Amino acid sequence: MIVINNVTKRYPDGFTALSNIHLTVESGEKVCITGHSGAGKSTLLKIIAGISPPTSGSVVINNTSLNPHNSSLKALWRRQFGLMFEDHKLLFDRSVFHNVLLPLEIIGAHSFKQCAQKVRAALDKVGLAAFEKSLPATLSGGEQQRLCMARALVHNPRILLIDEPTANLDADYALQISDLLLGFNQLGVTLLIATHDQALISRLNPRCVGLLQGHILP
Amino acid sequence: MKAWIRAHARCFQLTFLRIIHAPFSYLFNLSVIAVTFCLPLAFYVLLCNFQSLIETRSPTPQISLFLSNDAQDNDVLALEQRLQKSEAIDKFHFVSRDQALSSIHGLSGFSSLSELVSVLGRNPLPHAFVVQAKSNSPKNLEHLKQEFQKWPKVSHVQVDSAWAQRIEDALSLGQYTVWTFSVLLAFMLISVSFNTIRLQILTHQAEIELTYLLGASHAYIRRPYLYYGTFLGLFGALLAWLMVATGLMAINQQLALLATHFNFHISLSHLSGQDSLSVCVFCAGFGWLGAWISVSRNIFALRLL
Repeated sequence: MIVINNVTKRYPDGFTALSNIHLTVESGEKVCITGHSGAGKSTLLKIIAGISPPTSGSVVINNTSLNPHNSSLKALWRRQFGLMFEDHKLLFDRSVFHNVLLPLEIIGAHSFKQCAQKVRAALDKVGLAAFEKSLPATLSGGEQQRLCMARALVHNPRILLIDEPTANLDADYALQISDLLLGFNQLGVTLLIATHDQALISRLNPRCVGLLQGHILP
Repeated sequence: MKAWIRAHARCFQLTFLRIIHAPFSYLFNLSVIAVTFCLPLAFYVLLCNFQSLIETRSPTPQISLFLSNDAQDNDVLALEQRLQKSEAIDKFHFVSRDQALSSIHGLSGFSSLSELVSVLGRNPLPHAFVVQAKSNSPKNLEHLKQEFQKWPKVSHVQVDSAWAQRIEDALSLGQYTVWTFSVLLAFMLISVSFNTIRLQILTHQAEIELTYLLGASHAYIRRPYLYYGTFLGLFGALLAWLMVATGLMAINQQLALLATHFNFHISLSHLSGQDSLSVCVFCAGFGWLGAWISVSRNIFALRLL
């Protein structure tokens, strides 16, 4: 369970991105954070992921709160999530296989053989098994998004934090992505999605949390 | 432990992959280090060869103990026994006042020894012992001189170590120069490593950012760059070592030709195994240090960590 307690985020220039946010997400739940650009959706995901520290307030996951001042604990905190970024953040000089391998290398808990099995299983889940030796630049936009999903899932996280999963995708690719997300949610993965794509929202049928200028809409 | 070994093995692999991906820039960086390091290394090698040449070819310095004129035979005997017991002495021999006068006679131009004595009135020369010490360092010779001066019936002690002192001073100057060069080289090595790693970080900025977001620790992000810097120093040192070895081979061929004209054998030898290892460790260490400073400064500058 994710509990966000009274979180405020104020940038050094004085801009307040989030103000007194309270939010609870149950395990296995699917939640869409909606709102216009600049509403604070991505900022909220970054705070939950421990990428950006809150100015005040706290984030608690399964009774453990994030210590924003300990870099090692922050690194361990981030490993419990599967992260999908709006701009994909793929490494274009590495193959599809090695892009998906990266989270497992960072965790370092498995032998290469075990890692390779997990990578191939993740690629198989998103339908990219045949592309493991390809470079990401040779993939279409939808395939790149699915590659991001494979990378987010390869270490079996219980929570997926997804920022605009269908941005820049046409309707067919967006449908593929939403189907995949639904499938993972049915397996018990908690989904926290920042989006303003109404088609995705209607297909996922999630609990929606609206943000407007850093405040949760009633 | 297994995870730690795996992480380091993967870093090794990644570092070599990065080197292979951009071999020319790496080789150019290596050659900058190697050529610069070559000069003090070659100077040090020549210095070592000069030192060993002096040790093997120079005459052994001697200490002369001149006894007082009233020294009797039993005094001479007592001093002889004392010299025999001394562990700092390699060998010695006694020169009586008559032997000394005879050797002067040969140089004086007088036709007979009696003529020389009649001119001098009496034999003015003292008995003497000529001593060779086990260690010929100027410091040891000076110490022995002071020791001998305290002995009874010894009126004067003379050490012909001035030339040894001069050579030792010249060698000290050479060693001091090598150390000065080495300090400059260390700064150069740190600078090259720092700048190379800075460029590496700029090139891999996206990768660093992503690994950070996916939960990489500081150590995980730093590690490949530290390896890169260490290898830069290590391979630079090895290349410099090879350059000096090649230079020595060429010089030795010419030196052998030259030496045949003077009927002797001489060849320059390279660094000992221990010195070679020290050079490699020294360069690898400073390569690592440059990389560490660069990673700490430039990754923090990315405002990630």
